[in-house]
Amino acid sequence: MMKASLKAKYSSDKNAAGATISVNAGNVKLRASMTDATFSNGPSLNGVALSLDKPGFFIVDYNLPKKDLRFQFMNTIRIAEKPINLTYIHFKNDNRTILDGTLVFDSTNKVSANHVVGSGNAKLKYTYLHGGVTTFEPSYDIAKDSWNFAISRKVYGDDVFKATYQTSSKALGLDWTKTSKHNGSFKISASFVMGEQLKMSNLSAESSWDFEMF
Amino acid sequence: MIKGSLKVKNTNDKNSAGATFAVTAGNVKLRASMTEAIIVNGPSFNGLALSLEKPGSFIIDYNVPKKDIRFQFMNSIRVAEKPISLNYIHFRNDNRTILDGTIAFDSANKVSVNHVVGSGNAKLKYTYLHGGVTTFEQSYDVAKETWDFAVSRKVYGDDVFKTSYQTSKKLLGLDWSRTTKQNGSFKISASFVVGEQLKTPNISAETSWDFEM
Repeated sequence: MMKASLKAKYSSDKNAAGATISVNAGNVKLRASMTDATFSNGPSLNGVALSLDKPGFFIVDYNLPKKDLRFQFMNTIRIAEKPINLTYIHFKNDNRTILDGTLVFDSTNKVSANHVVGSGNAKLKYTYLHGGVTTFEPSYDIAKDSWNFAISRKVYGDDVFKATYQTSSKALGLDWTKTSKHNGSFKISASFVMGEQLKMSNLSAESSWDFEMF
Repeated sequence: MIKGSLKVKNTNDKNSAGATFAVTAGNVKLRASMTEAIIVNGPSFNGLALSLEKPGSFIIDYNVPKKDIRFQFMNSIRVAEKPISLNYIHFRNDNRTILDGTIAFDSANKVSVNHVVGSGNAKLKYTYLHGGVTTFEQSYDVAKETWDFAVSRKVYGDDVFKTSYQTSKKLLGLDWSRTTKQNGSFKISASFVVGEQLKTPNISAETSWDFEM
């Protein structure tokens, strides 16, 4: 069975569209994606990507025009009876490796560390789920000595409202996401710069639809 | 519980030794090894390597003096009801990535493909287990168009005798290895170049012992 999804994004600067087709083979999924860049100046390979993934274990992405490979491996280890979720990501062309580890203390508290190998830097994040609906995520960039904050809250059932703030760039972001099984999903995002005046730097809307073929 | 192992290798040219200590924490193993110490005037330990391993899932090796990291991830997928074992290995300093896949048709037949990413080359190998004791391995290097062969056979219970031949170098190798739980393991190897003159073969003996502390 083949599944497909379409995505359209409208924003202040530009509009973009993309389509993905995926097929299951045993316990892996093969995915082919293309974006509107594939067709904008006649058919091309721009924006065509192939992906092989075993959910929960690994993802291998191949970006055709750039001939770039991205490997992602996910693993869980247990130390002192606490699970630690590990993620390894490697970009071949840039030779960049990212390691991410999340220690799950309990169902409401998690601590994550994200490290770009060779950078000598790490980003730490603490996630706290309150009352089953509100999530607080403060994060700290060690080298830049700067904090970021995010609060997200489930509203009206399946909708999620999220506010983010990056202290280093004084950027405030607001998102509203609605996900439904039959009517697709949409997300409206607005970002502001909090200077002496409040400026809106970007406003965008994304819609996506999933459907099954054959 | 800490497990340790010692290994000594004697060859025509040199003798070397190494030691490893391993600790299990939950479902991962932490290992520290001192590698390839050359024994000339008394032992000196050259390199320290640290390793984190979740058996069957991943291995991360850190070579302390070279500050090099090696990542290995193991996965298996099922396609058309056949299991395919996949290995991904990445050496950070060399920026070298190796992908290996083995498809097991049944308990006696396997095909493997080994590819260095970006090399445009692949090595194919077919492994056939005959009668439960003899293994035949044929491998083919696609770019160099060369074949290598190996035959190994279990003898006297736990001993393994192996013959290998690399056509490109005309190199014939013979190995005898024995693994025991109580008395450690050893391996004696000899390699010859099959040419016009009979040259002195390279002979080496490796011995290793495992113990718990």
